[in-house]
Amino acid sequence: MVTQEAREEKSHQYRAIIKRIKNGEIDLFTYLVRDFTRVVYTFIANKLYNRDEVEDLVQQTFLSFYKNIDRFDEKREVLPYLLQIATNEVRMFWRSHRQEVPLDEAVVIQDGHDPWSKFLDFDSLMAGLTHHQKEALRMLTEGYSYKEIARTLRRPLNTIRTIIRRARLSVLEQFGYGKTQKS
Amino acid sequence: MEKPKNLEEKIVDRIYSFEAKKTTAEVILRLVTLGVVVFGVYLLGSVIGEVLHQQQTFSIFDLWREDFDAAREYLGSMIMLVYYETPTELVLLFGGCFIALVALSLTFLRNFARIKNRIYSLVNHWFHY
Repeated sequence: MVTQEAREEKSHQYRAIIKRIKNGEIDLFTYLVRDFTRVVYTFIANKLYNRDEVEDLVQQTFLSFYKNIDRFDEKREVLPYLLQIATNEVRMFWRSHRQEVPLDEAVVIQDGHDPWSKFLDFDSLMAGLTHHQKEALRMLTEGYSYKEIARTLRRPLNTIRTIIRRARLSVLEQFGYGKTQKS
Repeated sequence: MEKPKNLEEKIVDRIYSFEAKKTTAEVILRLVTLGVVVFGVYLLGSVIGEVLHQQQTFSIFDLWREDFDAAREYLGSMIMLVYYETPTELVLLFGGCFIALVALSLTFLRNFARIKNRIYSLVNHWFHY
């Protein structure tokens, strides 16, 4: 268990490291990379599933942090700042990857059955959802954060989380996953 | 969640690549700017000197050797004469270039330690890593 003293000492160390990085000793940045890569990786991997994309975004996060290190106030904690950058990177990633059409031409329609038809029938997917659920899911797929969705729909943040969770469960049920029986 | 070990190496390599490009561009830009300003100061100084020499402006100060009392009495007029004969625009340009040279030199000296540390880190990474 990490004590308060140990944490403060660690913060003090990071402050000294960042000060020296600002002074040009860029090899000290490896200490920050060593200490925070795992946390940032886990954070991003919870939001994306493709390993290559997760690694790219982790690299991009540290690069963005390094580019702005001259403006970073060393009295601030490093980890929350890094996670904020990671959040922004994930958001920008989703916005730039808004619609991806599978280009795999090897998908063959056999016996008249198109395995992708249930994905293409977006309207029927959304048919079972309420208006707020549809709106929240649409905004989420467009890369908006939960806070932005809450602000737009004028609902509390936890309500938006519940709406999106229920919408996801409803969509999964249509594919035959999750509980089909209402509790 | 497992994190591949070489991801840290990739991150560090990317940082060093970025810093190498940035530092190289910065050093070249500083040196070129300093070179241009130094050349400007030298050129303008030479031209002003040549103009004053051809006009024999400074011969007026021979009066200091010949008759010091008269020179002291007419000092104000002598200075005004030099002022009227001096190419004002060139002198202003020269002054501007000289101030720019001083400012650039001071900035360069102030950032010298930082740039030196960066170059040392880069060389250490690429040639010893």
